[in-house]
This record gives sequence, structure tokens and C-alpha cells, in this order.
Amino acid sequence: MKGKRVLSLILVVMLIMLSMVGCKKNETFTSDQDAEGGADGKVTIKYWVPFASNQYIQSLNESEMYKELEERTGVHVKFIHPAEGEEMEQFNLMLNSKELPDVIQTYAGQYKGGMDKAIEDGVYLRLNELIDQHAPNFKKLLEEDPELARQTMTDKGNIYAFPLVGIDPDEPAWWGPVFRGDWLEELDLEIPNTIDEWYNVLTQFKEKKNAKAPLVFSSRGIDPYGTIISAFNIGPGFYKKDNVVKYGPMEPEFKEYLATMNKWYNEDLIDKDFPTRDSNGRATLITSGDAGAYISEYAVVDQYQAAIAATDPNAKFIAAIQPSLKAGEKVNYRVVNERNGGYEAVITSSCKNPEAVVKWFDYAYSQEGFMLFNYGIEGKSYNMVDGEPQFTDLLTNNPDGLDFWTVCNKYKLEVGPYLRDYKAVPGFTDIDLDCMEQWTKAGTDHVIPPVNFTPEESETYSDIMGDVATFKDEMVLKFIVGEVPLSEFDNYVEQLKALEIEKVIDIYQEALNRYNNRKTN
Amino acid sequence: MSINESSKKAKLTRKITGGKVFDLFNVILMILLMIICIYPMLYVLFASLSDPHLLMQHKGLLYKPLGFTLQGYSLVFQNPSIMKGFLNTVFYVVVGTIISVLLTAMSAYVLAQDDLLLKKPLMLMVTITMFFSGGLIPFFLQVQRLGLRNTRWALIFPTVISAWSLIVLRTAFKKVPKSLIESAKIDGANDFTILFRIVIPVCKATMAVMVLLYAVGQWNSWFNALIFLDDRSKYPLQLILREILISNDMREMMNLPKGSAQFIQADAYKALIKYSTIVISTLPILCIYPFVQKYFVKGNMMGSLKE
Amino acid sequence: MESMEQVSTKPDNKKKKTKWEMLKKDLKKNKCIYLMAIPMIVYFILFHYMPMYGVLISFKDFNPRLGIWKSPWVGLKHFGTFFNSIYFKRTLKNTALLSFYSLLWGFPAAIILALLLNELKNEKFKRRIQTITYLPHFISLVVICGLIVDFTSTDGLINSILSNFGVEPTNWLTKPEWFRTIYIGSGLWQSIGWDSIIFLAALSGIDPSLYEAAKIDGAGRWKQMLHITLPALAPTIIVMFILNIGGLMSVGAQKVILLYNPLTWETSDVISSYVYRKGVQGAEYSFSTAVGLFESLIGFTLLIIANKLSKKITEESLW
Repeated sequence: MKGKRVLSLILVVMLIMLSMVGCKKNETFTSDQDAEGGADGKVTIKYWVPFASNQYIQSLNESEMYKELEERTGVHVKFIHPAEGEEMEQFNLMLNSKELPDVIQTYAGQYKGGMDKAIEDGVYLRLNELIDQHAPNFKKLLEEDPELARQTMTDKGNIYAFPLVGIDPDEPAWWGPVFRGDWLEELDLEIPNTIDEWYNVLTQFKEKKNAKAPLVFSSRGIDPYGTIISAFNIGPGFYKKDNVVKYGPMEPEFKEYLATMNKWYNEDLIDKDFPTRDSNGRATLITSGDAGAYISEYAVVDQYQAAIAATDPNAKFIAAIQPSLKAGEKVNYRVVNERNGGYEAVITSSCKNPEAVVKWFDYAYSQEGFMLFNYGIEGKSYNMVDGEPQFTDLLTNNPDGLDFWTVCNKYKLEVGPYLRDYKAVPGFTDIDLDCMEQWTKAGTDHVIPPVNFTPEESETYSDIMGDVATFKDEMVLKFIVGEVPLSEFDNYVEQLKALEIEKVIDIYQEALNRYNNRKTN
Repeated sequence: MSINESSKKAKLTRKITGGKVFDLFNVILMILLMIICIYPMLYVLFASLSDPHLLMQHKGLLYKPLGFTLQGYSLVFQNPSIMKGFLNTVFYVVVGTIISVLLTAMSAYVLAQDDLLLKKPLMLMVTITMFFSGGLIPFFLQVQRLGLRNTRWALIFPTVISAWSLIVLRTAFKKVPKSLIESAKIDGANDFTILFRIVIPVCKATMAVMVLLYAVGQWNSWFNALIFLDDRSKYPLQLILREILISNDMREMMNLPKGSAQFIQADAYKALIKYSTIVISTLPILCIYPFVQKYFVKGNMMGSLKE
Repeated sequence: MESMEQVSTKPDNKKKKTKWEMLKKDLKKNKCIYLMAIPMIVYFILFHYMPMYGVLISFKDFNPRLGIWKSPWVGLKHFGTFFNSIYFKRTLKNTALLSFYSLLWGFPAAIILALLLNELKNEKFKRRIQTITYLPHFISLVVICGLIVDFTSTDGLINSILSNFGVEPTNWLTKPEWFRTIYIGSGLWQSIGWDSIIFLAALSGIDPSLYEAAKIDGAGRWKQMLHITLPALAPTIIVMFILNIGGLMSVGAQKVILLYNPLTWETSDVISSYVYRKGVQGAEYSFSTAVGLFESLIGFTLLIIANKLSKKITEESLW
């Protein structure tokens, strides 16, 4: 009968599929074994790291730089890249399975409960002793730079990872305000330095240049790195004043900030649609010539300059310093390049040969390692010209017509645990250099360094801050657009206190104290 | 009498003109709807062909491409994984849809039985899964335990039956006239024969919808691939396209806290790539709708019965 | 009547026995059908019921390294955190209202579209419209929401139309009272065609001879629709409605997040977006599972109520 035939067909299909599953399973099993055992006596590292693949390089296994490194160190690395976009999810799933890769980079710091907990739980290795014995270059860096040492250890004194380290301890700021230089010139205005001068300039942009959005502004009403708000001598969120932690949005000065923003908003000096403007929307506003000033990063300023030149060849962006209330006053909050530059790589307890891995990592902090990671292979990706390394055409003028950023990861490493020179790029434009100079003039005294919370503290923090952030974000915008009068400010502060914001300030204070007390020798 | 008759006539004419007015109104409404609904697709298409700098500056609606370039498409196709991903997706869609539709039809047939003693518990078993799940982690561990991890079947079996589709199909199966089934049973047909020779042909249209739902579902899915596959050569198209989008969009977000600005690609082409990617990922699946539509013809139930 | 009473007054153990016997008999009689049910049962057990122990996370402080079983119990702590939040009531209300209004407008709209399409006489035209109305379903939410933000901005399309009528331009997405309208309106735009497919399929199953007979009886199109089309659609409509009621408590986060901003949180902040923002503060597996469980419980309860009501009123039900 027909029905029977269909049934048997289905069964056959299912059988075939099951057998295929079985085969596949065996295959992966053997390939796993290959990765584990160093057949030719070579040490093999399984290295989990997020990577943005592109048409030129699909995975770090194809990197010429790492191949050269293998030649030099005799260590083979097998990179495992999680699919992009949900790395956090994949990191957490990975922790659920028994077998971990030898090295986990970039997301390792997301371990719930913090790094001390990870070491206690026996997931990550404590590296202090291993570094003492096997990582002379990295150890030297730590000894010479107490701030770096402080930022690579936990409150309990565990060194847990190899981070990216900037070779220049004073890397310039990369975030700050930008104005339309051509408009300033045309209106015969100086680059503004104070809040009052900003007000004047923005008003003139509004009236004389008919700018729809004299100032393009962050959608949450506070610049995340503190431009403008730092003029009022407070920070955008938690900040410190003489080692006392405070919360900017509840300080009395914040009321003045809100009053100023409210005034600017009412007089149409701030983009009317700022609460709904996303980054694409802001880019459109800026490059279509409707904006007079904005706050951004210098690489993006380059792009905006290129885009706006297509329609308005006279348009010119020019960097300004972060404004202050009185002329010449120093502001104390800006974006900071921490000594621990992130991209931290930890070694897990699954690693069979941690000494070799530590030695391998240490190479990246040596002189030869520095050249290899930053510039690649001499004669191939760079040449020495007048004693300075210079990238070859392969990177700066690629025969396939690809730009530097697409090509670079094949010959050097963009980001990762090594000693990085931020200047190891084809070159900065004049705008870039100007931005760096102006923006770096702001001080960083109010910025809290990267502190650790204990597991209990981080739980309290996220319990309280969920509601606090919601309440604050909502009220800040309502104050700025004038939906709630500023006479409500005291009630707003009371409500923040009712939500136990002070508990979080205490937590921060304690964490900061512990940070300052870390013994760095 | 005559009054009565004339009023009847008036009613009739009113009905006729009423019907015509309705038809006209209906057609106008549908044309309006058509314009509204086609716009987003056109917008994406125009944007994918526009000059990236002009596009960046443009505000509001697009009525034609701003300038013309195919660079977005060529950038996307430069990625060698695209073709491979496309072939993988074809495999997942074809195999996945066939298995899913077969199993769903069998299950729906079971649940459509009126006199089955275990009908209620089975139905409850299905419905509960629409609301309660153990979450990602145990699901992941289970797939790993079954040895499906990093195999193509991990994208097919864990989601092979959709409870929602199953219930919809069951509703359609229940409407099949009992007399048809009874007479087949008298002729000595077993349940498999009844399902494949009578019930499925009668419910052709809903079966076509099932094919559409499962195929579109497989086509669009990327999350299971993301968590279950390590091997990039098995990635479906959507995951690769998503990576292209993400590496454009999220990079800066991810890097901002600790990286610095010089690591952002010079990408005025970002938007262009985004829109080209959407076009590439949508067009093929749009093509299957006309095939499905064929089965929506009025009265096809009768046709199948005469067969 | 009498015989029914007799059955119910039989002693308990005997009743049990008969149940067993009935099951055995049923298994034997419907052997082929139970055979067909095996793949389904295996599937749901393997991929849905065996992993279901994961809901335990909501009563524990989940630590990935310890795994689900060994993570420490914390009782109802996570539920407490959610219920005690000052935003609990607000997000609950917003979620319920947003999905209720979505259902109120979206559900009939899809049916009406199917009915109107059914009335079209030109087959080609009809097919073209079907194909086009289903297009927006495939455009990613990010693009759709980007267009919405464009349309509703101060110098956007909507304001430029309204300014002809003397309406002061404003940014509609910063007005809490307009959020639901925008959300639901755009939802209709995106999904009306797709949602109507299932009804179109059901419509095509109606026997044309019924319409012929009605025409002979002098029934107009309105009456034909009322007495033939709608009754034929009823089972599909009812099942879809019940399933939708079950989904009332779950509003996806993505679209809300793409469209909201703090100025509209009063009406736009739903449970999932609230959980999302909280998650950004720290990976909160346990908390989000607890909230998910809460949503599921409400959804399932609603479904059971809807199913019971439907059984009473229309005799149509899921089980």
C-alpha cells in the first residue's frame, strides 16, 4: 500500500540522517584531538578571541604576523572565533562546558563575580608567579609603571591577564568638541572656550547661518565623556573629587547644568530632535551642513570632513577645548586611555602548559615583539626609512584597492595583548593632530580609575542602578526639554536618595580605596 | 402592488451601485495599501544603489537612487563566505522544510483526531512549550549531549516542529469532512494513506502556508547557527550577512570603552553595505511566495477531491 | 442521562481499571496514529521538556561555572527584585496595554484584508497586492524603525503634511501619548500582509458551490460574507485569537528599544525593555529568567481562560 511505502521512506530518511549525525560526531572528535596533542612536539594554544572578519582575512589563523610569531617562538596557535554579535552569550555558554580553551581574550573580564572569583573558582590561573619566572619583559613593564601594575591586578593582589598596553603613557584624548571652522571665520568669531562663549557662538550660528541644529547633542542629555558638564566642576556619572566619590547627576552644580541646557534647548541652540537622534541621524545632520558644533572622536571627524566636502568644499571642522565656566579655568573630566588598555587575555585552568603560554605572551612586550605586533614583518609590511618604520604599499596603497583597516590584521595586530603604539597607523591628518592637542588640554583628576567590585557589591550595584538609571535618564531629558520645571530638582535628588543611590556611592568609595591601596611592588 | 414592485427595483439598483461603489473603494484602498507596503523595500533598494556620501547627507524619503553605484554589492560579494553560506542556506531551507512539514503534518493529523484518548494530554504537551522553556543554557547542553553540536543537523532538529504551526495546521485538518475519511476507511485505507492521499491534498493551501512559514523561518534564522556551529564552513548566509552588518555597526560600540578612535574603519560605505546586504538576504526568499500563492485559488478543495 | 450517572457512581478502583483498559484499547485501535505521534513526542521531550529544568535558574544565583544544578538557591529573590522595583507596575501596565491594543487593531485588520482581497475580481491584481503587502515583513526592524524615526521627526514627512493644516511641527516620538499609536500603526504596516496569509489559505478552502447556492437564494455579497465566509473562517480565527491572547504578556524588546527614548518611557517602557536595560548593567541570567517565567505564567493562564471561554461560547477549543 502507498501509505506503507511513505512510512518506510520516512524511516529511511531518518536513519540516514541519524547515521550522518554519528559520522559527523566522530569527525569533530578526531579534529579536536589533533588540536590538543602537539604531534611534532610543538606547543599548541587554543585561543578564544572575538575577531571581525572581512573579505581579506577571515580568521587570525590566516595572519602572517602570527605565522611569523610561530617561527620565532615555536608555539602554534589555533584561534577560535565566536560568531560576531553575541560574543557575551557565547562566552557564558562556553563557561558551562567542562573543556575550556587555553586562552580567553577580551570577554574574560565578564566573568560573573569578578576576576578574584574566577581564580577562586579555579577557572582562570593566577599569573603572578608565572610572570615572575617566565615573563621578564612584561614584568619589567609592571615594575616601571606602578599605574599599569595597579590596573592589571585585583584587589586581592592577583595578576590575572595580559592586557593591551600603550607604549606612550600619555596617549592623547580621542573624544571632544568640534566646531564649523569656516562659519567661525566667516562670522569673525574666536573658537569658544567658555560656556558663555559657546552660547554666543551657537546663537550666532542659529541666527546668521540659519543652522537647524547649532549643537548636535547626545541623546541622553549628558555627554558620556563629560564635555560641557565638566565645566560645572562635576562628572557625567560617578566621579571623584580628592578621592571622594560623588554622583554628578545629584550634585547641586547639576542643577546649573540643566538650567543651561534647558535655556539652550528653548532657544533652539540644541538639535530639537536630540532625544531620538541615533548615530546615523547625527551623522546626517552634521554632514548635510545643518550643524554648527558636535562632540565626537577624531577618526569620525575625518569621515565627516570627507563627506561634507562632497557638497560644501569650504566646510571645515575645527577642534575646540572642553569649555569651562570662567576663561582659563581647568576642567577635570575627559576621556582617558587607561594604562590597562583592555583586550585582556587570561589563561584558563584547562591549559596544560601555562609556562609556555606565558613565555609566548611575554614576547609581545619585548622589543622585537613590539615591532612585529605594531608593524609586522620588515621588508613585507614595513621598511625602515630614516630609522622610522614606514608601512609598505601593501598596507597603505593595497593592490586590491582595500583600505588600511581591512588589510592590517593580516600583517600586524590591531588590538590585543601587546605593547601598542597608537601611532602605528599610516598617518594622522591635520585635523586629527589638532583634535588630540585641544582635547588633551582637559584634566583627568575627576575620573575614577577602573576599580573592582566584590561579587556582593556588583549585585547591589546592578540592583540599585537599574532603577536609578531609568529615573535619572527620564528626569534629565524632562528637565532639559522643560517638561518638568527645575523647581522640582530637589525632589528629584530626594527620589534618587530614596532609590538608595548613596549605597552605590559608598560601594564605589570602598572600591576606590581598595584600588588606591593595592600594593604594586 | 406597483409601489411594492418599484421599491423592490430601487433596492436592486441600490444594491448594484452599492456593489460597484464598494468594488471601487476596495480597489482604491488596495492600491493605497500597495504603495505604503512597497515603499520600505524600494527605499532599501534605492539606498543600496546610492552614492554613499550623498546618502549620508540625505534626509527624508528617497524616490530614486542618489547617484548610482553597485559598490555596496561588490563589497558584500567580495566576501568569499557569501557563496558558501548561500549554498548552506539552500541546504538548510530545503532539507529543514521538508522534514519539518512532514513531521508537522503527521503530528497535526494525530492531534486532529476526535476520538483519541490521549488527545488532550498531547495537545497540552504541545501548548505548554509555547510558553515555558528552560532557557538557552540547558537547551545548548542538550544539543551538545545529543552529539548535534557543530553538525548541520543542529540547525534542523532542535526547531523541527513549531508548536504554533502545528496548531494552525491541526485546525485546518479538523475541517476536512469526516465523510471523506470514513469512506476511505471503509475502503481499507490506513491512517498514512488517509493523511497523504486525502487530508493533505484537501488542505493544500494551508500546507503551502506551512512550507512558506518553515522555509522563511529557516532562511531567516541565525541564532542557532551562532551558538551551535564552530565551523565557519557550515554557516548559513544570514549569519555571515549579520556578521558583515555587525562588524560595521557594533565595532565602534564594542571598542569604545577601552579602545580608541583610530580603530574605526573609514566607512562611509557602512550604510551602503547594510542596504545591499538586506537586498541580498531578502530577494531569494521573496521568490518563493508566488509558488505558494498558486495554492490559494478558490475552490481548490473540490478540485482535489475529484482527483 | 441515567447511564451517565451510573458511570460516575462506580467505585474508584474499578474506574481506574477501566481507564487503563480504555487506554490499552485505544492504543490498539489507533496503533497507526500513535505511531505517527512518536516523532512529535520524541521531539518535544528531547528539545523542550528535558531542558526545562533551566527554569530553576530563576530561583538560584546562576554561576555558569557551577552549572544550573549546583548554583546556590536564593528562593524568590529575583522575583522580589522585580516586584519591588518602582517601575514594576508601570512596565506591567505598558506591556499589557501595548499588546492589548496591538491585538485589538492588528488582529481584525489581517482578517479584513483577507476578506477584502477575497472580494477582488481581478485575480492578477489580487496576487500582486498579496505579494506586495507581504514585503515589509522581510525588511529588518532596524530599517523599518529608522524610517519611522525619519517620518516622525520635527522636519519629517508627517510634520510636513500636517503643517498644511496648520499643525505646529513637533517630534512625535518624544510624546508619550503618541507612542502606542506609532508602535501599533507601524506594526500594522509591517505585518498586515503576512498575518493575512493564514486566513487567505483558509478562505481558499471554501466550497464555491456554497456561494452559488447563496446567489440563487438572492443573498448579496454582504450576506454571503456574513453567512458563508465568516463561519468558514471561524475555527481559524478562534484558534489564532486564543494563541494571540496567550501572547499578550510578551512584547519583544527590540522594536520598543529602537523607538523609545526616556521622554516616552511613561508609556513605552515594557517589561522586556526594562529587563534589557538592567541586563546591560550586569549579566543577569537569573533575573531575566525569573521575569520570563512570570510572563509565561500570566500568558499561559490567559490562554487557558480564553480556551475555556471559547469552548463555552463557540465549542471551538485547543483541547
